[in-house]
Amino acid sequence: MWTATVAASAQAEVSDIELAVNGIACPFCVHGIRKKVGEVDGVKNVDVNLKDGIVSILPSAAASPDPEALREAVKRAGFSAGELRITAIGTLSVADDGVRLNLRRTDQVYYLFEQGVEAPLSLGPKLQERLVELGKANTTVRVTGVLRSNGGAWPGLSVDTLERLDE
Amino acid sequence: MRRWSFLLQILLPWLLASVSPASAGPITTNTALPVHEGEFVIRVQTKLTRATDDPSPADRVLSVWAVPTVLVYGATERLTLFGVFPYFEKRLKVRTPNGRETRGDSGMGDIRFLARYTVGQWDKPQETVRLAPFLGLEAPTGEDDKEDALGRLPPGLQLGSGSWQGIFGTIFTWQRLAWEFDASASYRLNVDAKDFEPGDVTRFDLSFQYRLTPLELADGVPSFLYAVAESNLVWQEKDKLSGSRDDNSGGLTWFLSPGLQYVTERFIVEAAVQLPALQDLNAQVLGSDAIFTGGFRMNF
Repeated sequence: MWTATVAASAQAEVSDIELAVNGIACPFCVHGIRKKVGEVDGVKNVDVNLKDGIVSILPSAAASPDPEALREAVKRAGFSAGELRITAIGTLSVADDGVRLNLRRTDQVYYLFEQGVEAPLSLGPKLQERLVELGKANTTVRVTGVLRSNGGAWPGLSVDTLERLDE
Repeated sequence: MRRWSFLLQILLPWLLASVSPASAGPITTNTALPVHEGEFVIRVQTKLTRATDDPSPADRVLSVWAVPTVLVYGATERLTLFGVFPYFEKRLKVRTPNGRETRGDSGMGDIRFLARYTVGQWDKPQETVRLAPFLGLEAPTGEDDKEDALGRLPPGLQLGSGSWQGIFGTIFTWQRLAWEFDASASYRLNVDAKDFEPGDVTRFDLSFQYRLTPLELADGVPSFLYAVAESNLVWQEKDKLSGSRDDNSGGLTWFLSPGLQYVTERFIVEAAVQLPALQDLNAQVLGSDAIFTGGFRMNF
């Protein structure tokens, strides 16, 4: 599996992305991935590590790359996009349909979910309670997890790691 | 002359048919690896073949230098289009009562267009398996009516065939970080031109590449050096002259081709020597010497 990492400044709303790319197995093929991913809006620079299957991307200061656009770029290069892992910064809000991560300075929203919970894109009670508390306090958090499509709604983001950025 | 005619007929389609680049892949045959959508790859090869072991008093020496340039375009992530633009220098030296004569021609040959579509794609981490049929036409753009002091050149010494030709086949590719395996089968349908119809050509190609360096992958995108071993089995049916089969034509040729390939992110440099392991020809035909192939490819 091949992954793309977006390394960004601390102010970026999406600071890290790891995009798994299946099917790439030689240096000559890397060019297509690098070029197509580099054309995605919000991508400033792309570095590739073939050994670990990692591409490090520097996002532009103005915007973060759209994860779905990254997937499409991989497909247009002739390969298969796999798991997409991101680190995103924002504030939490609680809605009827779940807990949202609202990214700073953009309209992007992710529904947070917990991997391993039986119901899809849902949270276990313990994590949900903690997220609700953080949301009530309007705390800025950094969440790292895997993106999941959500049937046309805002995508889901698993809460693999959670970090408070302000006290 | 028929003996030479056969040699030329079987070698020249073979020289051209072996050029069809995409991503990293074989040297003398095809790969099913993708060309990314909307982008170009250019491949230039130079192929030199000679036939010198003529047992006849004519002491004939044939040399063919082919420089096929291939432009590849990724129309979609699955559909790839190829244009093959070959340049030839064909020389036949023959002893005559008037001394040694040289016959031949040089210039652009018939242009070939191919379309390849990936019908099967199985991607796994650092591994891919692909299946891609292809279909193509060769247009009669090369000169096919060249004459010299001895008369009209035989068809094999002409730059073009004078007729449209069809080719179809399929390619299987299995690639991992350490190695790549390719297999292809193709059929070339030759049609009549000026009362001469070269025999149809069936070929089976195998290629195995093994990464020699780096032994351990370093950070970044290290360049790969592959050892390459390829096999080309080519069977040509008998030619037809004015509708009659020419028994002094057609046969089976099997080449084994060791080579080296240096692959970077932007370009590939490669070289191979194609050694005739078997030449089971339908008549007592002079076999070919080794074919030397060198070339490069570049991503745009």
